[in-house]
Order: sequence, then C-alpha cells, then structure tokens
Amino acid sequence: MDALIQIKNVNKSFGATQALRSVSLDIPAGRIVGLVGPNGAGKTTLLRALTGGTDYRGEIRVLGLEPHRQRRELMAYTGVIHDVAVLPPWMQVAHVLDYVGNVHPHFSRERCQELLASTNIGLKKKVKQLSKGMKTQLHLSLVLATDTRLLIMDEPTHGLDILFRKQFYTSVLEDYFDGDKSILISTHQVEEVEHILSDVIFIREGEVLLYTSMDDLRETFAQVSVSAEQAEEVRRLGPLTEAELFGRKVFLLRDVDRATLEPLGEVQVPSVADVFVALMGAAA
Amino acid sequence: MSSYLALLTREWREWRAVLALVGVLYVIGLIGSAAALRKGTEFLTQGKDDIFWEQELEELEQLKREGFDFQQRWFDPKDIIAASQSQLVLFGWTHLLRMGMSFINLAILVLALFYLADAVYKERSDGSTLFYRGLPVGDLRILSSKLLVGTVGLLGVSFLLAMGWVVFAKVTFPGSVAAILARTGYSTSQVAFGDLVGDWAVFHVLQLAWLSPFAVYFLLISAVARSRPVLVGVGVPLIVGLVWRFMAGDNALLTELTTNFKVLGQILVTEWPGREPSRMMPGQGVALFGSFSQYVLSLRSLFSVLVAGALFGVTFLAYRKNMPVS
Repeated sequence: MDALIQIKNVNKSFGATQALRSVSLDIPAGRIVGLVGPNGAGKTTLLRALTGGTDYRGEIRVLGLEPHRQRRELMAYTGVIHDVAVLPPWMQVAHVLDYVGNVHPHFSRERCQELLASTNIGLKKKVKQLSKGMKTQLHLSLVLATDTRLLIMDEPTHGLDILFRKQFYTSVLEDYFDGDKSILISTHQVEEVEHILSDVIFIREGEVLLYTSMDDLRETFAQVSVSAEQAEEVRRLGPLTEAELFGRKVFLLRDVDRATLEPLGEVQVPSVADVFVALMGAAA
Repeated sequence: MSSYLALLTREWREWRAVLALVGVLYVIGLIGSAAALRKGTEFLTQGKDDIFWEQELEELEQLKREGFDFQQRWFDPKDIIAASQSQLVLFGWTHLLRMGMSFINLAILVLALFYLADAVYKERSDGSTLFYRGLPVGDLRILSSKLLVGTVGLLGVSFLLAMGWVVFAKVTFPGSVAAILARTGYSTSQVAFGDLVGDWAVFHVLQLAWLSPFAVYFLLISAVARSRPVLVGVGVPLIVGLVWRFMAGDNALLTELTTNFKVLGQILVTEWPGREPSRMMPGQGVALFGSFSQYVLSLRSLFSVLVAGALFGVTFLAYRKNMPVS
C-alpha cells in the first residue's frame, strides 16, 4: 500500500541555515505520528513543507499530491493547526465559519456550531477578542467539523494550560480519529501525547534521528535500574545514558535483550521523553 | 456562494471600516462644498458683494457717458455685467464638477496604493496567511482577488463617488445662480451629463490599464517586504532612480517609471482647455472632460498590461514562497 506521506531526500535552507537535511520518511495511513524535536530542529519547516506552506528541494507526496504545487487539492483532504494563532484577528467568529464554509467542500457549519456550543466562544465575537485557548478551540472546531483524511498539527497546545491540553487531545481522539484517518503532531510536551501515538519521529538540526512505531520503541529501548555494584556490568553493554536516582544507577539501553538485563536489576519501558533525551544527548 | 465570491466578501469585510471612513470623509467633503457653494453664491447674488458688481456697472456706465459706444461692441454695460457673471458662474460650476471628480479619483488612487501594499503584507504579519493556505483555495485566486479589489473595486468606488458628486453638484447648485445664467441664455444643463459620465467611465478604464503595473508592483512589495511596505514600495524606485541619476547623470529612469502617471495627467489637461466656459456659447452643449476612448486601445495600454502580467507572475512566485516578515 502506498504511504500516506512520502518524503524523499528533502532539504530546505534559510540563507546559511539548513533547516532540513536529507529527510526521508514514509508514513502509512491510519497512524498517529508524533514529531518530536528541540526548538529549531526543523519540525515547523517540515510540517510547512508537507502542507505546501514553503518550498523545498527533494520529493514530497502527501495523499499522492505534491504539496507546494497542489496545495489547493491537498487542503481539501487535510486539516492543519499551527503553533501560533493564525486565525484572522479582525474576523468575527461567524465570518470565519462563513469563509471556511464557502471555500471548503467538506466543512459542516452545523457540526462546527455544535462543537462551539459547548464553549464560551460567541459567534459575534471577533477572533482578536478571544483568549489563546479559545482561538485554539475555535481552530480545532473548524478542523473537526471538516471531513479530512489527514490532520497535521504543529505544537497545537503551545502556551495553553494543562487542563486545556488534555481536553484538546481527548477531542482529537474522540471527534477526529477513527482508525482510517491519520494525524501528525509536532510537540514539545511529548509526555502528554505519547499514550495516543502509534509512531514517533525524532528530529534534530533538520535530520531525522529516529522513526519507529511505539511498539518497536518499547521493544528496542529499555531502562534498567541497578545497584552501584552492578553498574559496571551494565556500562559494558554500552548504555545511551546513565543517571543516579535514590542511590541506584539508572541506564537507558538500545537493542539489548531483556533477558540479559533482568538478572542485573529492575527493567522498565522508558518513556518517549527519556528515549528522546537519550538520543539527543547521543547525537550531540 | 462560490469560493471566489467568498474571497471578495472577505476583502470587503476586512476593509469595510476603511471604506466607511472614506464615506464619512466624503460626506464631510460634500457638506463643506455645500457651505463653500453657498458663500460663493452670496458673492454673486446678495449682500455686500453686490457693491462689487455695482462698482463694475458704475465704471462701465461712466465709460458710456464718456462716449464709449458699447452698442457697436455688442453689449450694453448691463449685458456685460450679466455675461461676466454668467461666465463666472459657469467657471465655478464646471470646475466644481471636474475638480471634485478628479480629487475623488486621486484620493482613491492613494487609498488603492495603501490597500495593495498592505493586502498580502497584513496577512503575512498577523500569521493568518497560514490559515488561508490551510484551506483549499489556490494562491492564484487569493492574489487575484486582492488585485481585483485594489484595481477594479477601488476604481469602481472612485467612479461611484464621482457620480455622487455630480448628483450633489446638480442638486445643490442654487436656483438663484441659475437665474443669473438664464438672463444671458446660459444654463447648467449645457453640460452634457451623459457624456460626462461616459467619459469619466472610460477614463477609469484607461487608468485600470495604464496604472496596472503600479498596482501589481505594490502587490509584489506586499508579498516580499519585511516591514513598512508603503515606504518600501515608494522608496525603492526613488532610491534606484536617484542612484541612476548619480551614475548616469540624468533622470531617465525616474521619468520612465512615472511616465504613465504623467501622461494620464497630461491627457486630462489636454482635454480641458477646449471646454472652458469662456468658450461656451449660450445653448451649446459641452462634454466637460472630452473623449478618452482614443487612448484606451493604444500601444501604451498593451505595454502596461503586459508589464503588469509579468509582474503578477513574479508576485505569484513570491507569494508562494511565503516570505517571513520581520
């Protein structure tokens, strides 16, 4: 089956700064993929390239379309939420709904109004009068009320409180994802989304360090907590990181059989954040 | 509603406050003009200004008493005064129409410059360009809707306001002044209003063609400027022109860049003198602006539209690059 998103050897530079370096990925349909990286890693550039928001060198196909050249066709089947408030501040909420309704063939105004009915967002209000959370909520409602095959979100909950962040991802899961659709999320707060992710991509300085399914990640990486006496034995296995916690040594290892580790200490599945930090440190 | 109409509606909703302000200024202008017209009328018809005309008449009567034969020179002194008053009234009337329409046009052109320079820049600076690009609307449609509003739309506004001005001038022109004209057989209805409307419409079409390169140029600036697009748009050609002058020792570049503006102005001026009130005869109709249709189908129009088309291509590529603002 063709991948939903195909990226082959994509590069993008801003002057002397290379934002993307030979990025190649194939993302199949029906997945929820997390794009994780530090600030300036190239996440936003990659997502903008995927949504036709910027040009690039290399090949990209999203839903079989070339995003920069066929952005209009692509956007009929793709929802996008950006990291910054991008709704026109001068528009009334009702006019935003009018506009999207008139230009998008798969938008349901009724559905959007249903979603907004449970919020404090009045249709007569201007976007600039809404709080950051309300703007994100409005944008999410627009996207959820649009029948698309792919949802791309760039730090969608950036700057929002934890309650809203949880509610946001719950809405995305309940109201959007149905197993056939796909979601690509870039985020700093990986611990908040790792439970919904099926795959994860780590990116650093424009290069993809890791692209794996969550199942494989749990198989590939292990965290073992050992006493000081057994630490040397674990060190010989080439751990990615070593830390001390409550008098015990904690190691994160890659591609080491659990049967080898279990006799040494307590073996756990590391969090995505732990693996991310370990790989970032190893690549530095 | 079609998606293109939605884009035009969006532009209307975004800029309607500016248009409302233009409307308010327009109404204030009309009220001011009505007051000025009333003052001007007083000069001719009543109060202390009569002294001026009485003195004029007295001087002419004195000349007659001294043996100057007015009969041989066509008029009686009273007729001369009446004719002078009529000429003055017609001068005021025709210039009220023409200057008002020209001023409205000039003001709207300045507004168009600001609109076009801001049209793309504003959505780049507030980030909403990402929202618009996240929807299935092509870049060509977005850009062309802005260009359409900044050219056809605003020239349409200029024309409509000018027509409002014509109606205002007709309605507010006092009957007492019309009576002065009637004494010598003149009338404000000598102005051919059908021709006036038609000529001004053609002049707007001419402007659309000849100023299209400037319109697209400011749209391009709007798509690439990192800050202050109006300043950049006006400043860049000025600086390049001055550098050219310094290097080449002449003003050729600046002259070339502003040629279409100059020629448009010259056309207006060229068409006017033959239609001055001093040359009007009682009962003779006059088209105040003259005909501009001869200029529409010209090489200058073709060249202007071709340059605008090429610039639009560059603007399209620049818009698709989605350049950041500072």
